[in-house]
Amino acid sequence: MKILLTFTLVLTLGWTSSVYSAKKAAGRNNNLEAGKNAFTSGNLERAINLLDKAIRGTKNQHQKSLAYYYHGLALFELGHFYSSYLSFKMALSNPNPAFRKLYGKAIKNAALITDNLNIVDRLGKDLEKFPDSLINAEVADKVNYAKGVYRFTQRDLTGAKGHLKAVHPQSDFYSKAMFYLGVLATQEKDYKEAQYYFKKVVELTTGKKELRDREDLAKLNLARSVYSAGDMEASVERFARFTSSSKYWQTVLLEASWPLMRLNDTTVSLGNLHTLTSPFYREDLVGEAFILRSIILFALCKYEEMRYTLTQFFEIYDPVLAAMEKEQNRLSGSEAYFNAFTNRENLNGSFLRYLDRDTGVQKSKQILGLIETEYVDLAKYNQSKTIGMMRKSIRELEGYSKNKLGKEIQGLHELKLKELVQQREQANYLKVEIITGEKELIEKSKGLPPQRITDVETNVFEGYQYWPFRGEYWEDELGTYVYTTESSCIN
Amino acid sequence: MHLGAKVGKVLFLGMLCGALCAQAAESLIEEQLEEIGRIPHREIISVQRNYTKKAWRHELSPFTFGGIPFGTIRRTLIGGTGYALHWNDWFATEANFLYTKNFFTSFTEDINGPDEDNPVNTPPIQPLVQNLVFVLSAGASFTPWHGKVATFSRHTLYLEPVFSLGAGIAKTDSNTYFTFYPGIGLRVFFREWVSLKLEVRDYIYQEVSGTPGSEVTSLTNNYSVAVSLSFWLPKMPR
Repeated sequence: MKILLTFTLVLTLGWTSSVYSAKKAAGRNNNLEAGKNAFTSGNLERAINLLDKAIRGTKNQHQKSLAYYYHGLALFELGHFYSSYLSFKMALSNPNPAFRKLYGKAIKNAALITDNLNIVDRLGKDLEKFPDSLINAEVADKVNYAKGVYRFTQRDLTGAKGHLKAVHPQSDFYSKAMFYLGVLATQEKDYKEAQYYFKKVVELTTGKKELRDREDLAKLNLARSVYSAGDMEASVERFARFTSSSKYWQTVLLEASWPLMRLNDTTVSLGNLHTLTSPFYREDLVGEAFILRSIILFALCKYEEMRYTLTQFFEIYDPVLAAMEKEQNRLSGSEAYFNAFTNRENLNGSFLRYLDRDTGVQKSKQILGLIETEYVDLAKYNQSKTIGMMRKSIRELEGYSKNKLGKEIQGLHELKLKELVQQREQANYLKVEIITGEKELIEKSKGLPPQRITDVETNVFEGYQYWPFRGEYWEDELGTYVYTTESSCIN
Repeated sequence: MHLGAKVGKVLFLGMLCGALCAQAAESLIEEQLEEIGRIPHREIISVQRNYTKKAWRHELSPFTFGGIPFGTIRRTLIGGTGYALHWNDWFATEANFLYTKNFFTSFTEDINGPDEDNPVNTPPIQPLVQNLVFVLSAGASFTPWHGKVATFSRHTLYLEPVFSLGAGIAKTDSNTYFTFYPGIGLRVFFREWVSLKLEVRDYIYQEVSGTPGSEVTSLTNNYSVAVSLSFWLPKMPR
């Protein structure tokens, strides 16, 4: 009797336990299905909570990956991009040949997100560990692009080239891959190859409004590569393709002046520099424009104006130089630079304006803002382990990004200070040259009256008109000035 | 040609002169060298696209609003439309149509109002005014110069004076007259394809009034002030 009772009890307990387990599994399945349904019906916040439960409640890897995938989709729809990337990344953990299709989708989404957040190298790093055999052909381009960027950041130039060249021309990432290849070629001083890649990017982006920035940057790099390759005329022609609406307008005006000077085209180069040395750009760290202008004027024996230009340089940039030296002593470490930048304190106005123009710095700042908002937004969901991990990861990324941006700003500060010091040395040297030049001019003139510059007759093409510069700069005239001057040197 | 006074010019030249003069006084050599190599500012020019290029372009003015505001007895609101073909940068032929809406001023009410010195009611005065109904006209316009103005060197506007001359018919509520007009205005370009014109015109005609057999003719001036929004075709090639 006792044995019978014990047997019955064991059987009952076993049955109850198996029923409980089955129910629990069904519950987990239910969470996944309910989460998917909530997602498809647009109830995204509920979907996130349900899928979160599904993730935590299952050991079945397929279900877990599927739950992470939908979790990622829901987070993406709500604009929580980094968290969404984390979910897609989790969907890739514990790779299994049975889930290839799911991995393909997760990689595709992760690549798009990380590329927009400027952290595609992180995905590349993750994908380095992911088995190639489980990567679908449709996402091979994205994988190659991500891996290429990762190798690029690791300075593995051969590896980076290999992956970036493997990106298919039909891929959305093709123009970006070509851009990276152009940068790599420039780093290797292979300017012909760099031109080839930047030309490709220009071809691929021309006429596409949303890619205007990339097009402009490629055009700028193309012009620089042509200049570096020694083809001055072609480089001038490339620089001339920019309009004043471009973000790089100032840079173009300055950089175009170098090949123009080397081609002895002082008319346009001095005109460009006339724009840059105008009060409109007084606080834009364009000291190089003053020096270059002085050099050209020196070549034309225009000592008076050269002296005036150098005086302007010292007036404007001596205080900036002093401020930057003080800042360098006061600010220690990337964090201090980051804080100074974000609070707009302890950094001089000229440098801050320079940072405001820097597209890389601005993009990093924008992304940092997105990440901070995302951290706050995630607080409204059930604070499960998954969400907790995501928030922790966001904090880490935030810290990493701040540090990276701080370092970038510190580097730019050092660079600009170094440039200013060099420019000041050059300015002092040119100041001495004025005296030498003037002496030579007197000796050569041998008592003859000084050469006088008279008005130059000026004609412009049909459809154009000209306005005389009478000492006041007008905003609409910036970038359109030309010097109709002749050399004052006596042979 | 810059039309507007360039703000800060005097100050800038003063500073420049100050800097140059101070340097020139440093030594005799400096003084002798002052003239060498100086680039007068007239040697620097700004070459720009001509925003006011008009040759063989059509100026469509679908909206014209304004009034004939200077009448003692009558005020007139005008609305209309216009078209001009520009033969070159300074000459254009044009056609305009104006429709009017007339109002009496308070002048009539005032003179018909109660008079304490003369309590005997006098019949109200009804001014015999011929109300302008519409004007259809054609003519020519001239833009001999163009220029630009800027506020503190920013916010630049391209503008040009416009002189016009033309003839047409003016229909009043009782007669139709031959009219001619001189006009003067200012056109402002916001883009190369859109402009605004403010113009004062005098529509002049010999008005005939009075009863049959005792008609009186008088020269009537209708000074109109109107603003027209114009669109230019074709667009200028970039």
